Amino acid sequence: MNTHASLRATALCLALSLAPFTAIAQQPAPAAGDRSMEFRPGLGDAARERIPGGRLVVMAYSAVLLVLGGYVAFIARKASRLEGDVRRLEDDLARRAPDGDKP
Amino acid sequence: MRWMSVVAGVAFALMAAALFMALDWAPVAQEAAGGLTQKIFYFHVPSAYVMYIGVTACVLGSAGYLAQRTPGWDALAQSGAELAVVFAAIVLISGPLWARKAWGVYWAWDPRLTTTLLGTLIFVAYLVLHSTATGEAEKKFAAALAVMGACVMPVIHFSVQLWRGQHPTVITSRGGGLAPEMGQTLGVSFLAFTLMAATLLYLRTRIALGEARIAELRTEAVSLGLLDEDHDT
Repeated sequence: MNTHASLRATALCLALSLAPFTAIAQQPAPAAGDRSMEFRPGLGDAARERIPGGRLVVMAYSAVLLVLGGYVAFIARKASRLEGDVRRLEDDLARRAPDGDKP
Repeated sequence: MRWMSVVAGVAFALMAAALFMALDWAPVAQEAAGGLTQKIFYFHVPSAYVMYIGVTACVLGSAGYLAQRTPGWDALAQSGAELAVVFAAIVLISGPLWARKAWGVYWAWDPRLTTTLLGTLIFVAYLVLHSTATGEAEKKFAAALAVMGACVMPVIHFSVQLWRGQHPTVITSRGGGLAPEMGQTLGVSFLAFTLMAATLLYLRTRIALGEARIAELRTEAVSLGLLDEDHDT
């Protein structure tokens, strides 16, 4: 794919992404305030839900912190591996370099 | 790098403040919104916003890579996709826990939930494709997938208005808004997540760029006869 073809493909994708805006323009707007915090009943039995809300909140926030902590740990491990790679490359080059070129 | 440490420190402090404000300071919402469970909202919505930031970075990086083929664009695209997937995972975990209380079920095939899942799977596919790429052709294919996959993002955002599913809208012009304490808590949370996203994106892009540079230098050293391909990898 050459540069022009790539740009054409990008332009096409951007144009496609405008489709929802066109669809929205054709929708009748709901009344103001109609959808604030609106949860329509009928899926499950929310009224008889007995799981304590506090437990769900703790589970959700624990999951958030766990996922974020995991990603930060992943980045830290990548950074330390990168440092190791740099050191290994320097060692390899120093071993191969003529004696006069060694630091 | 010093300014990045400052940004990371501020992000961490704001995150702690947002956690305190969400759990202790903001009032409990009405039962129809999940009551106490509505407090998930303060991390759920900013996570979805960071997912959009990640996708935007990935699309910019991918489009740049398709146009110029430089490792910098590729690193930005990869980092953006990772950020998008990580925060989409947070959205897809925290949302169902809130829904269990508010809707009585963990999951509904609601337009926003379904399109969010679809969008996440597209960027997981991008990461898998990118991580297994051995040459420029595969990387170009992954970049094209990311650019095309981004088309689903406006659909996710406007799906609630388009198809009226279960998912509520609260902070749009059509929503009814929030109590002042709720709005302030959400504002702090947005700020914390924005700074954290900037920090993670910057660090991850630098690492990806460093990895690409090391691979390039090693290849160059082998081609110059300074290293053996077999032993010095």
